[in-house]
Amino acid sequence: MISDATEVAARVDMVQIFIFGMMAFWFIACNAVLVYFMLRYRRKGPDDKVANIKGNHTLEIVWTVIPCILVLIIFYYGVVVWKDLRVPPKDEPVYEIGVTGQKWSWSFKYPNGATTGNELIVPQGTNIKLNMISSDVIHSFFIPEFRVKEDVIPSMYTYLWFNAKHAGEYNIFCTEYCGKDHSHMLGKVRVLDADNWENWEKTGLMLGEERLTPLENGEKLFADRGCKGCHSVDGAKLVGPTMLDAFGRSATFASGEAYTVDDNYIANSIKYPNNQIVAGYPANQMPSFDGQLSDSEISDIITYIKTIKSE
Amino acid sequence: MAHEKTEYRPYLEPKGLYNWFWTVDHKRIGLMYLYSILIFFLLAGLCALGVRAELFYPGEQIVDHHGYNVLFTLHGAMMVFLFIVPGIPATLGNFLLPLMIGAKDVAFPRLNILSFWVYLLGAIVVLGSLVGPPGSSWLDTGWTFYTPYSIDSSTGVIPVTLGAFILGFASILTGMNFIVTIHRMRAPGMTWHRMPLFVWSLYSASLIQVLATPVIAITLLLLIMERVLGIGIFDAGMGGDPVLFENMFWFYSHPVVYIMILPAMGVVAEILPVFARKPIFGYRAIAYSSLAIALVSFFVWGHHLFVSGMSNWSRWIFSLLTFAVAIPTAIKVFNWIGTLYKGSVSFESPMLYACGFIFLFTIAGLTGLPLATLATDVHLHDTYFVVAHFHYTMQGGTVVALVGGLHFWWPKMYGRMFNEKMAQVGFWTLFIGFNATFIPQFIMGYQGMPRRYADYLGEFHDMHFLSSVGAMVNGLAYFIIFGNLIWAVFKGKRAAANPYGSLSLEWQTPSPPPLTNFDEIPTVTDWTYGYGDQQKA
Amino acid sequence: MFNHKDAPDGTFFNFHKEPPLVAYEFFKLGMWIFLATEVLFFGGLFAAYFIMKFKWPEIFSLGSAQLSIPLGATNTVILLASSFTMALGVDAAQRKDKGRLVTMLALTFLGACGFLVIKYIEWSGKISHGILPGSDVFFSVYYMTTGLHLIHVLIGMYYIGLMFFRALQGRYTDEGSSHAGVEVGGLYWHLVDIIWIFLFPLLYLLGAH
Repeated sequence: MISDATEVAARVDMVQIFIFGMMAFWFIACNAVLVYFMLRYRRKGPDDKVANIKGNHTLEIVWTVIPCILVLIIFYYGVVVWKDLRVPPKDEPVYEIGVTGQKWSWSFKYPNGATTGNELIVPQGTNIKLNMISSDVIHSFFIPEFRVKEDVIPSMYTYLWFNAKHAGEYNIFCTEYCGKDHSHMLGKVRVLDADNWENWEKTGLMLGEERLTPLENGEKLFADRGCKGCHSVDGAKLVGPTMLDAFGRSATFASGEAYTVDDNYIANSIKYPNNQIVAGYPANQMPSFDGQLSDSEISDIITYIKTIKSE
Repeated sequence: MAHEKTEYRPYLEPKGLYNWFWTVDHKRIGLMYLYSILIFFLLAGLCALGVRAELFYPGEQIVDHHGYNVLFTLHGAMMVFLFIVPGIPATLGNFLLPLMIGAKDVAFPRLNILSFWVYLLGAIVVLGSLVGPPGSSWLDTGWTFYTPYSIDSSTGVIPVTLGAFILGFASILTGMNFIVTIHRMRAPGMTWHRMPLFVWSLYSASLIQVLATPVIAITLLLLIMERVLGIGIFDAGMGGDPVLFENMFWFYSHPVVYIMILPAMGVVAEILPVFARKPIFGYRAIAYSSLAIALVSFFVWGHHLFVSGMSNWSRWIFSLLTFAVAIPTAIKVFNWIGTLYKGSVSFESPMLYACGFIFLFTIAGLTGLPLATLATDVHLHDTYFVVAHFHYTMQGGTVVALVGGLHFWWPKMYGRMFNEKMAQVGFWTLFIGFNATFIPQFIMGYQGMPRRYADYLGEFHDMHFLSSVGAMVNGLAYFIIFGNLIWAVFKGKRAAANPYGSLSLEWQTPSPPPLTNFDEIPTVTDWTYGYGDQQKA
Repeated sequence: MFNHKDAPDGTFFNFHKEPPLVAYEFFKLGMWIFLATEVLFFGGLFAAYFIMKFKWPEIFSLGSAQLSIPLGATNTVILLASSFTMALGVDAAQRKDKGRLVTMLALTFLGACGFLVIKYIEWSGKISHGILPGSDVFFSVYYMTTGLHLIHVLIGMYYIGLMFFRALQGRYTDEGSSHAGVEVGGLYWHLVDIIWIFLFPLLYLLGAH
């Protein structure tokens, strides 16, 4: 069905199997008896005699007490495993990563100052704790293979933790409805083995990976950071203005002031998007990337935007 | 003093729109509610088919992302507020409650018609959100209106929440009316423990209606004020708390699912003994378990917030409380099945629906267990598993019971019989289509498919495709079912006053009943389910 | 156990009149249920109050300090007094004393007017200082709670006025008439009073004075 990629996930599956077993038993038991009664006591003629039974106290007490005991067992088992799913093990080192959710992308900030978008890079076999906050509406951070999920809320930090068993790639979904491109607010967890992780932490590159040119890096950032969701590169009008022929374009702000798009304007708009809203577009839609993108990354994005030309 | 025998004149006369719209007759009001909710059931159902059509394949099929979000929002909002909350109480409940307890009308007939007008007004206001361009003004927040998205969204949040606010008054009026009616208007001899179980279930549902609805009213009012005046109580940017909205919203919206399901359970408890010709098993347990469910329902809202940043201890307390709902629910199921034991069971269409209800409802109830369990809910929360679970309770439970109840009481309401063969075809189409739609959703939900996704990863395609095919069959079933029922009203053969041989009071009067229900208020000497005692005589 | 004596004839305008005792029993139970919904309605607001106060204790005590305790206390006394005259009015109706009922209803209405005047002074003072809903969470809660309470006062005044004219016609005190309307109106007015009794200490007194 779905693999479990952490040790706790395997234990969650045990709870799941236990409950599924119980569900199957009761489902089959109830409906087998139902169908049996339907067939066995089906009406044979208008003068059928029926048993004048109005109830049975012993039976009713038994079938009240047994479910009580069973649900208490399920509850207890669920809480025990959930505690380990929820709370990182004490007295063990924890690697903490900051997560910001925004319409419609994820940003990750690592202890060494590195940042990534939509791709969470973590070492294998390490306790990872994510400290999460939203910069706009409520999102929810979900990694099915790790069986973890927690809402990402504005103005309030939430957390989750995991410890991935193997190197590999896993899906990240947003599971709290957050508007138009909710279903495209997807990410990946890349779990790296020790060598690869050491290299990535130092250089920001995978083993054997070439450093990107500013243009390539700008294009990658433009996709990974969710810019594409609102700013088309083909002239279509989405939530925000298109980037096609954007550089050097002249237009007016909502305030009526005229402007021409240059390097400074793009850099400012990435950091403080609500300062200068282009006429005809809604305010308070774009999150601020101040502190989430380095100056060098912003400069790469500008390099890329300059190349988006219709001819 | 000899009672003057009046000439029999069915409540369906006099005809004419005026005589319906200004009526205070509970039977007419029940029917007007029925027609209205069925119109919204059709509209909301078409939205659901739109959703499923879009999801046949990944990528954009018939609508863009915003269009998809509008479709599932309208589907949810109309189904919940306009169809299923008034679903059984305001239709079958209004029609049957006075008949079942031997009264001539409800306690406040004028408040009853007021409730219907308020419902219409609320419905019009909700539909008012559709005036304006679909791209920018059709609501896209989901029926849950979670803040802060619903504060930021440029779409018609105000008309829909205001409409829901108004609809709340209709719901409160109905609930209040039913409680007073049950307390004050039972016929002589109709003691609490002789009442039909449908009346007990309406009583429990009415308690929730009057106690939970005001909380959603104030919540939606605060949300409207948030948008109009920017009061900031739910706005994180102004120091407010968006999760407070979720708490207040679910304080109503969890109990409300029991407004939907309790009367459905009541319908089933009425149908089973009639077609098994046997007393209901464990009458008091069924009656009191309805009250128990109503009570517990107020303390379990937190299970909608297991991953919403609540403190860890409140999570496990809410988990424990949620399991408490399972007990009275299980008791009911066992009692229904026990009713068939050593009976004389016949399978006319109402009985098929009742047994189908038990089958589907066991799935609905049992799939609630992994959602109440903390360890497993974290994974399943907000996936298709949840979607399938609550559709099994709402459609497999409430709608199946409503349709079964309509078949059962249709001869009472119109004095005409539907085509039994077609009714059975309708049932099996619904049964197959419904399961085909939602069983795949359980599977993909467990695999991690999140809900409210306009687009999905290729790995989920098979299950989505199956589900969409099922949905089309599911939709077709309703056209067969309601086509048959509507045909019966005009062309069906005349029904006997009591075609199923029921002992309940509503069948001891002509079909359709006269305006005043009973020529003379009946005196009740025995409980409603004396099928075993009757055969000795 | 009560039942309709006459059959409704199916149209709104010709609906029959219930016999007095029936009306009394029905209306009283109905009103109690309605009061329960009101308690839950304001209960939601009070929940919002406590959560916001817990989150922002300083804003709440600073905001509270800006409210005038003398004005609030006067209003509390006025509402309590009007509740008292209302109770006397219900008593008069039970004793079929038309003159005293009319007087008491008039006094209750006057009390409500006094409450409105003071409320106007308070609100207009705040608004002229630029303190509006949304100024901070305390004043948002303040305007929402007192505003919704005010709407309830206005609805109450409408009904008291209606009762006044009906009482003048003898609708509650004539032979064979029912005083259920006054009884129900009294219950409602006491609820309006009780809600204020909760609002006054929560908003005015629990602050830094």
